[in-house]
Amino acid sequence: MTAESAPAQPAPALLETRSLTKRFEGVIALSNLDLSVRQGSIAGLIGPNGAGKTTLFNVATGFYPPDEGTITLAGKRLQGLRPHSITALGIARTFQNIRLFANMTALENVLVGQHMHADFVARATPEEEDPEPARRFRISLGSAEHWAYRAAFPGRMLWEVLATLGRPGVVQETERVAVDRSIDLLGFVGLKGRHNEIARSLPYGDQRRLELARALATRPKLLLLDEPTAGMNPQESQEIVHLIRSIRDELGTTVLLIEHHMHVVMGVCEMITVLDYGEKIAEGPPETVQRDKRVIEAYLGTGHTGIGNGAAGG
Amino acid sequence: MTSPPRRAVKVPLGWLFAASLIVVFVGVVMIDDDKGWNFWLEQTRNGLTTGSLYALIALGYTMVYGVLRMINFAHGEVFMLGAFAGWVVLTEVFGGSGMSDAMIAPAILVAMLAAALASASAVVVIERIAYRPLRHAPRLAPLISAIGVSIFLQNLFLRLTNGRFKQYPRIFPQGPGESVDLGFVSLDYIEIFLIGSSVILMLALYLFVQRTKMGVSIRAVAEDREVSALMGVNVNQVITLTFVIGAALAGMAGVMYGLWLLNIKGTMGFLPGIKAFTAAVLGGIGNIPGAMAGGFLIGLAESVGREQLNSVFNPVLHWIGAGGLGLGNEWKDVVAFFVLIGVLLLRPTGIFGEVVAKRA
Amino acid sequence: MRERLRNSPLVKPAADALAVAAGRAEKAYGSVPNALRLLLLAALLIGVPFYENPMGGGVIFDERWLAVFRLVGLYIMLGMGLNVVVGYAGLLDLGYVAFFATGAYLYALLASPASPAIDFPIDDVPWLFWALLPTALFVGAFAGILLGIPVLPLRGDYLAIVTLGFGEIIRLFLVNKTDFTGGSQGLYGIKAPPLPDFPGLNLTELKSTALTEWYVFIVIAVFIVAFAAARLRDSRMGRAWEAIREDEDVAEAMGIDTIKYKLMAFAMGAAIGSLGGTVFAAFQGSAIPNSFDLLVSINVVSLVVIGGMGNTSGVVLGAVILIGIPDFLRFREASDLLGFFDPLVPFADTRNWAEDLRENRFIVFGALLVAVMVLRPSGLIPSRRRQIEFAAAAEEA
Repeated sequence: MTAESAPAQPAPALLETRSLTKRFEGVIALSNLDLSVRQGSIAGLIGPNGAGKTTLFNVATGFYPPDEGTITLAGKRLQGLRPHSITALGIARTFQNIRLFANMTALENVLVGQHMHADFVARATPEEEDPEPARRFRISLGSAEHWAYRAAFPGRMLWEVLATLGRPGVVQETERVAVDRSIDLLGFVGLKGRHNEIARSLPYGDQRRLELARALATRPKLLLLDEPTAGMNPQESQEIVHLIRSIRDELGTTVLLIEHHMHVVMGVCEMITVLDYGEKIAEGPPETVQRDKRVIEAYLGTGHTGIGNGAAGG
Repeated sequence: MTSPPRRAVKVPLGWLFAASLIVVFVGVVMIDDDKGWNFWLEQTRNGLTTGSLYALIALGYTMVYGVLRMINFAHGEVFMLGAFAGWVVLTEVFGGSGMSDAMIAPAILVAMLAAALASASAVVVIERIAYRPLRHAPRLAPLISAIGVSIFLQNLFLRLTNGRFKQYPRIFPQGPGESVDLGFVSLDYIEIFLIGSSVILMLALYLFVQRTKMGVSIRAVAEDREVSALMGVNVNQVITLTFVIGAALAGMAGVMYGLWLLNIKGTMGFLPGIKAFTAAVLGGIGNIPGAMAGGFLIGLAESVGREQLNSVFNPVLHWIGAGGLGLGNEWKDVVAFFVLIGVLLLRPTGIFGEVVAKRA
Repeated sequence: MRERLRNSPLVKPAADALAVAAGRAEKAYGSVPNALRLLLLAALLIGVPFYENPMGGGVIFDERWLAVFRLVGLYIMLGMGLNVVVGYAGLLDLGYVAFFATGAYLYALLASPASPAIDFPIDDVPWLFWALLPTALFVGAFAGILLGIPVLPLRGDYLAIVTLGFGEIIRLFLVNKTDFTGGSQGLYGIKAPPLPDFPGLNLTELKSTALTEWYVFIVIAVFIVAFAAARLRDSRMGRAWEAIREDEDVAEAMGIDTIKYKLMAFAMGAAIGSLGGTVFAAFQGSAIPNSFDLLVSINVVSLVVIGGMGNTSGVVLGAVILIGIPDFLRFREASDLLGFFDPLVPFADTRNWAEDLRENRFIVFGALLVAVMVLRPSGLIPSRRRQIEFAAAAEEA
């Protein structure tokens, strides 16, 4: 989709960073980054190795605090939050070098992803039917409800322990629902019927799918994919691309992906941001970025004419 | 390509921190003067002396952690082993207290060499049997194995000595008057010997690691094991060498301990081991100069620090009606634990920063 | 040939009927729910003190045996508690004795006449023990959280050493704060709580003694704790712990509040340890600081690791080997048993081996730890999950 055929009313930005900066021991990993990912889009993040792409993911998911700047999801401030709170707000990710729970089964991996939504503690408290109970409490940090929730922490912990030991109906129910949902998710990513296989014994491509399923189990608004097609042949890559598209189309999830396979990026992303040495050097739809001089220089050095679409890229 | 990244200014945090600690120490000492200058000096000398032993032992911990990322729980027992080896040499070979004055110096030298040899040999065996097979096992296994070695050695020596202390011959001139008077302070011969030998050994180690080929390969393996292997370094050999050096130092420290404090026992390695480990962490695990500094700091913290805790906290506790802390000698041992917890929570990389392998 | 015989008109109907019957029996056994099987096991174990030697001579397992079983049972309970921390959540705690001491002193301070904390006579409160059992759980959980908070950011070896330090600090505290804890003499003279009379069961007729009652109590307690541990493991909480153990950062990225769950693991483990401590103080009759030293922590860790981590049966095996056997070696029967090997070993008197083994038991213990770790790092009967873990790690080597 090119800029010309975009809808007249562009979708609001879901993820936004402003002047985001992150330093490590004297090296600037992210430098004054202004990035914006539109809701419902599939966006790409590319750049040479060490450009700061994975660092951006780590900052966005709360593993590193930024040194300067802000980062927000649908207007809610992310910096300073712990990773699990950020996940509750709706960001999930996969990892560059697949970090599955290797010794657990596929189903168990996805069930871990369901953790927040199998939360019988919040469910047992009489509130209005919110399918994502965990989010309610984390949204308005510092508010009265937030502090009341925090103060009741010991009570909730006790209830959680007792409920785990006693297994009342609400617990069995949430577990059953979680298992059903997990099995559905496994089917959605193409691992139907494989739920009892140990994660480490799955072939590479299936491990990537499993990681996707696990991330999806957290019901994210925004999915961060770190090199989802790394190490795959063109056919497998296409299958993953297809899957990414259905994630956006069927689940409504916004996707931001880091990739080195140029044909994948240019083929599926509507908007691409290019980083080099932590700075944004280009941004735009695929055709624009492909022809951008700075981008070509960053990847290939001066004297080349194009990236991707079959040329020596990636 | 676009412009290269800018580098931020590096602040020598570690040295700043150590310097400020010393300033605080001196300050508190001067304020609390009802004990007298001499008392504090004595505590300081004591602290530096024990500190030198901790430093020697700490080097073993820090080097092994640097190359293997593993805490050698049994290192304290290696220290104990050295002490016993020295004892055997001094009593059986040289005849114990009966030896002639002329023989004392060479006897001590031989004892230290024997201890170094014994500890080194022991550690080679230990590494082969208990650690090497577990190099790729999950973290828990080598830890438990090391604990097993520690228990085995402690109890073996307890059994061999029937649970009693063994006494080193009183051959080193110790006692009132056996000191060098420098005007404002007098240093006992034994203190000069201990601190002096430790410093010489540490200097030798430092030069070895920095200047020799073997030393470089140790640093290489510590930084990136796989790449070192690819570059032709015999990693197993280097690892064994690291263990050996650490053990030799600890063994010699054992002899020094014996000459100074005279009583040795199978369980003597446990507490010094933990304190030396704390020293290694304090200085930054994997950091050799750090371990040396850490050792002295822990020694000082124990002698000077304990008195401080007593005099500073007691009035406070009395006031809240909780009775005195009454920090006796056992609490001295706890100082190290508190330091450890403090370091791990506040500055886990240690004062001078850790030097550990990046994941290859 | 066999086929033809079996299908011949004479044999066939009988063979068929047998096959059907066998099938039905197998189904019946399989359908006996686990609960029933465990109940049977519990009943068998509870009956142990009462089994009589059919050839006369009274009860097979006399008081000495019961004392050993009681101690083994206590360590099984402690092992299951530590299993939650180490086995499920992967947090290496070498200071577990601190929680054990907490529970013991909780009871001792209230029940001992030597206690500096209580002035009034405690004999008038026979239900004190029973009231303190759940209290010990809560106090223990609280202690677990307290000790867990400072060690949250630590991993692996560092966590081990710091928790070890905590254990030692607690022991020193117990010895030194004499005005509070009775010092190195400890608190003693605690009267054993009267265990309840079961209606319709005249215990004196069954020749039960206090030891028998304690043994039965411990068996029941162990089953309850085992049940609780299993429930904890097969739950959302257990999954969270497993995820944390596998990869803590990723677990956090999946929405698991690792701080909360790590603290819960410490709390659960500490609660069980504390419960064990209260029971110990009650049946021992005293609480002396030297009973709460590093060796207890090492024993518990060792029995969990050697028996098979993450696995309740492993804990039982570990306790039997590490706690039961050394005590068993004191018995005359042990020497007799070893005496059987005498003919095989001409130059030594194997009957003395029991004595020798016992005297050198710590040396053997250390060697055993090393041997098991090197030869079978996942433990003697590891859970299926651990076998996979360790096999994979070995492959990568």
